Amino acid sequence: MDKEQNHRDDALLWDAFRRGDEEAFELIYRTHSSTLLSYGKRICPDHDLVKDALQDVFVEIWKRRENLRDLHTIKFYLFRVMRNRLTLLMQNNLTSYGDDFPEKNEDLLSPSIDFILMEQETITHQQTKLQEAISSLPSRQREAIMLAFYEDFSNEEIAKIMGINYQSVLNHLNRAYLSLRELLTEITLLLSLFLSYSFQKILF
Amino acid sequence: MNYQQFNKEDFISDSFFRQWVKHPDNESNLFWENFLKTNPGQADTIYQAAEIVRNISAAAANLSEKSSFVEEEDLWESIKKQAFETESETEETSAPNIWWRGWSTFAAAASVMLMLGILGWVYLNRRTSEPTQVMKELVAKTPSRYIQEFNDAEKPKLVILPDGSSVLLQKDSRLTYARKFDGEKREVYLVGEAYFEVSKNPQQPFFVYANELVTKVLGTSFNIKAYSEENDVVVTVRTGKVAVFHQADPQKEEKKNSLSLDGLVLLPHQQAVFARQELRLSKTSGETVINLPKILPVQISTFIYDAVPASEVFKELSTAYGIEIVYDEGVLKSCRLTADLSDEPLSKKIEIVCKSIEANYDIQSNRIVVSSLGCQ
Repeated sequence: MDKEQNHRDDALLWDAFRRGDEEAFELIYRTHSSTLLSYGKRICPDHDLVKDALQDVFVEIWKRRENLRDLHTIKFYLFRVMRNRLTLLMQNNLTSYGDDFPEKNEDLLSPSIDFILMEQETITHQQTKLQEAISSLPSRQREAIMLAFYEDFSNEEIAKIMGINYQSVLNHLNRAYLSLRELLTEITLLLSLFLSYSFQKILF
Repeated sequence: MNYQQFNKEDFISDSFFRQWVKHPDNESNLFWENFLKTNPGQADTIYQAAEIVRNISAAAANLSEKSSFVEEEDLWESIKKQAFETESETEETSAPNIWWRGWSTFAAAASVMLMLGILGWVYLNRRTSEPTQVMKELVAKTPSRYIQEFNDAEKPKLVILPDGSSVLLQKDSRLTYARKFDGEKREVYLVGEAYFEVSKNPQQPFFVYANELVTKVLGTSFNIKAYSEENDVVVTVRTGKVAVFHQADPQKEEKKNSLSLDGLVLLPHQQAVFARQELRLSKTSGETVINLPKILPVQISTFIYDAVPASEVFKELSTAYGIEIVYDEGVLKSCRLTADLSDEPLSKKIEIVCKSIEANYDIQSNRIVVSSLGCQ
């Protein structure tokens, strides 16, 4: 479906929702709940808190629907309020999560002899390595990567969702890429270089 | 943007570039084709950057954990309760604790009733009388991983699940389930009351989530009554064996994942009652204590046949499940059946009957058509 059409549908849906259409409200929930939950769980280890935040967000937007302004896209709006809400809950929650959550497998992925074997490894294996490497990134970098490469947000949108400025988004993405490259070598990042036909068709 | 000076990481970090690689459209194709024509020296960098974008995207997609639809359904029930209930009260309550805690405590007011057609969501709404044309179109466009069945009629509604299990859904009850039962579990979400006949597959346990209670079965028949506004959740077993536990059970995961039945195990004619206020789960047994809320024809039939004419079998199945069965009475005159079908879902019963009388059948949405050449 093309982007223009998506935007128009989003606007129609949002209008219906603001007029108090319960079906529109439900459709918004059904379209975005799963991705908001997995986003929340990625930035907050307390999954019950994530569910609380999601519930708060939807109850609140329903109550205040008449005062909500026109929006860019529904998905962007929801990610933004979800992150705000979750951050607030995490701050209020007596448990301190610290500024950065404990990083997983921090030293598990140091470049090693695996590196030499890399070329013989299957692509799936290299994909797994890439996933592990992304998981091992500092949480803000990982969040930026997920928003940019999985949720397909623009850098402007990511800046607003994460509450940081545009340049910081670029820095996070750049640093994330550089650490991935350090962890994995270029070969893994370019793992299917010779397998991509579709791209060549677009390009040439 | 000064794309001439860009190196690989600059391209990767650029949203317009990423958008083109992942979702190319006319505008971006035109731009980048032009750019490459005028800057052939950047082709290699662009080619590699695009490859990296796609690899990182694939890895990111695999990393994102899928939330279970049970979780989403639970949350939606509490959101509806919160959003629509506080609204019908007057807006005067500006109490500071508007942020409602404890998503798992839900009850009351099923204010939106909905049902799902095969192509998409079709909503019947209590407040807004008719879905607008715009909403109908939007709903039809949204692909859903799940199917919702809602029964607002007095007569029980037959639902045949992707694994062949049959469900008789009672009035004002809603059942949600995945379009396909792939994965290790078969999971359905019930609000209201239903009678289940689950097809046997010990490798892929079947779970019913109903209010706070989880019912796990490997293949059997049982009734669950779990209306959101009622105080008790009642599970009654007719054949086979099921396990019941609370959603917040600390050992829930182990109980769910084992291939055996752990927890409160119920045998035929036993009943588990979960008192939602007191959070108490108890078991009763023996014929006398059983109070099946609504006895369905399907629960009265034994489905044990000894040289019974096939047409009678079809008549009984038709009454029991409330579904039309089309067959030629004359042709089936000499066909007789001896079988014990007491512990099989409808689709399996039909399969067994037709196999033994060498007939073919076709299960359609509202009827079953049996074609046979007759028996000797």
